[in-house]
Amino acid sequence: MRSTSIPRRTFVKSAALLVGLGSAMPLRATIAAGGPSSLEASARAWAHEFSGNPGMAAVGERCLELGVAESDPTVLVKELDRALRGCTLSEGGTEYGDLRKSLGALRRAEFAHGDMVRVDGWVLSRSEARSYALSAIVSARS
Amino acid sequence: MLIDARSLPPETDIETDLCIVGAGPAGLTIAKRLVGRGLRIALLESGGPDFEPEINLLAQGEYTGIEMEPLEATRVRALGGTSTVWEGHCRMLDPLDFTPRPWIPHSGWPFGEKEIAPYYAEAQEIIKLEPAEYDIAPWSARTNSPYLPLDGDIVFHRISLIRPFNFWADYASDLEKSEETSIYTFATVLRIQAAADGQSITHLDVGSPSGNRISFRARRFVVACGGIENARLLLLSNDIHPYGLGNHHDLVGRYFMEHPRFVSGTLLLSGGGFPVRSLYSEIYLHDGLSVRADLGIRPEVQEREKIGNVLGRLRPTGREKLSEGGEAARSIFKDLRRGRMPDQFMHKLWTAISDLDEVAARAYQRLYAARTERSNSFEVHGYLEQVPNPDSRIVLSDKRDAFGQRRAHLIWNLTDLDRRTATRAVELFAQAAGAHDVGRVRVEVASEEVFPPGTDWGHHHMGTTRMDDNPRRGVADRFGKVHGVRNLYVAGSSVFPTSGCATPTLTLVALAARLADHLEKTYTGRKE
Repeated sequence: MRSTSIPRRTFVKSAALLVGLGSAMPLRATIAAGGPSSLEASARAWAHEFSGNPGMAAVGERCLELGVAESDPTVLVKELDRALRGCTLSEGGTEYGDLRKSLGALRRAEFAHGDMVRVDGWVLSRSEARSYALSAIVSARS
Repeated sequence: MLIDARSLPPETDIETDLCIVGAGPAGLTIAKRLVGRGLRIALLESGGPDFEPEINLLAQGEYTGIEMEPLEATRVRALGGTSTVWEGHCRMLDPLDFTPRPWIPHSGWPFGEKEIAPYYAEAQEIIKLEPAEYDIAPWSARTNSPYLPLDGDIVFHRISLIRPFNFWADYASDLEKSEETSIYTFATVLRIQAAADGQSITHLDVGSPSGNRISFRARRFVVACGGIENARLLLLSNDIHPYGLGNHHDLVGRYFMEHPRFVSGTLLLSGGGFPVRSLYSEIYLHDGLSVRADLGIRPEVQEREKIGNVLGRLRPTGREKLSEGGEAARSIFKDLRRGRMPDQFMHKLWTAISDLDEVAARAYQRLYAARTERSNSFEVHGYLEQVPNPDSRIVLSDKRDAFGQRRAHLIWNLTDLDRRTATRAVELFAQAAGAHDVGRVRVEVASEEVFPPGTDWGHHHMGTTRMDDNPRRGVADRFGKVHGVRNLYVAGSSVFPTSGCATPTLTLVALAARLADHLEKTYTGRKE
């Protein structure tokens, strides 16, 4: 793990990717809400999406170092799923395209409610930080 | 009529109805408004028609606490006062600024915004702020300039109208033509002389650089020589009241406030580049008038967070700093566009000419490239309301000026509440940027480091003779009359009980117009 702060360029790349405005996501996965099997599906979807994004992983490493996100990937997936479901996801399956929308809505809602964390000065929504952390873990394992 | 006090015979005695000390925006506004109303007015200015470095040294002083520029560098002793050099930013205080806020000690004005509203309208007319429009949408449409969708529950856009209005240049002909008005230049007030019972003022002792002494007798006196000098002059006038005039409750000089300005964060846009030339970086309109958009925190959020008022200014990043020659050329261009002769013109011109390559490159950049230039990030600058603090104050120094008068000593202190406002405000801007998907903010201000390197000050000196109807809480009443002295008034930003985050000139001009109204309505012609 590096102990330096996040370089601005790294943050720009990763933020643009995660915020997802204008960036094309190739994956169109389906996840289902509820039960353990859906959690596995979510984890697979997240893992597939977050592997190979060094910028996000770098920010995620800092999130983990600073303790602003959980270090257990199962907990991270659970928390992200729970937050998403609480925010906009309906029962049943949804396309990843919708998931992206939902993630955006979740981040906006978290900011609006002040559910934020600070990483090297950058103010992120809590789920955003968790997403980065998950990316770091997935990248380290792949 | 313009009179050079240096040419008056020694020991001259002058009698008039109203004597105004200081020919800056406040003093000039009062004089102008009372011209033709049957009052003989003497307007005293320590400086002359132009800036003279030696005269300005009378404004030298010391400071402890927060480091700032030398005091004399922040004020001008000349006809027009500091309006001869100001940037011209005009904004009204917010309604909340006038209200007592339980979370801010010593907050609240003796009157609400409704009381000052007609005078704000008048001040806008005086400074020619047309149209006096303060919503972002009409300005965006008018200037064809986009703005970031940040308005919501937390943040809103503020508009500043900018005109570096020189009050003397505009008022001179009316005042000079007036037979009842005499303007004395090079007339430095050394003492406000109280009667033996201490309840009224008999005359002003005035000195000029030629060594003569003049005595000005009047029915009423208005002290309008700035946020530092108003307090200094009251403290210096201590022969009858040993602690100075209006200082029965040890309030004169206390509650000094400024507007600290510093880089508080970086906003990284998520939606791609934004035009560098936009309302955020000032758009020139016409006839010396410009407009700029900034950010504010909603009053209900200030209340919920228990913070002071604050303004957020966005500045596009990534632009190279100007060289010395480029800076000189920019300064000349800016002044000429505003219709005034640049100060140190020849020096600046020479600096620009000797750096012609850079100046030419910058001119090309400005004229052509900048029209399409975009930036994906902004510096977020915080302009802070300094909350009232009795330990932030002006006292008299043991050092003396050319007249043998004790200089001002500024002891400038901030509070934990100021520090909290500085950090919390940028977090709130970050919150709004995230909630509206505008981007992400990196907070540059740590709670223990409110004033990072590069911090600047507004050069706005306020609060040292604050208004309050209760003499135990204020030096002057709601009109500016000094408590306990029948015929002495103070005018200018020194009477502000709180500073808000608006530049003070528009408000002090509105208050000056209001005081002029009051003086006219209550003038009886009898000795007071």
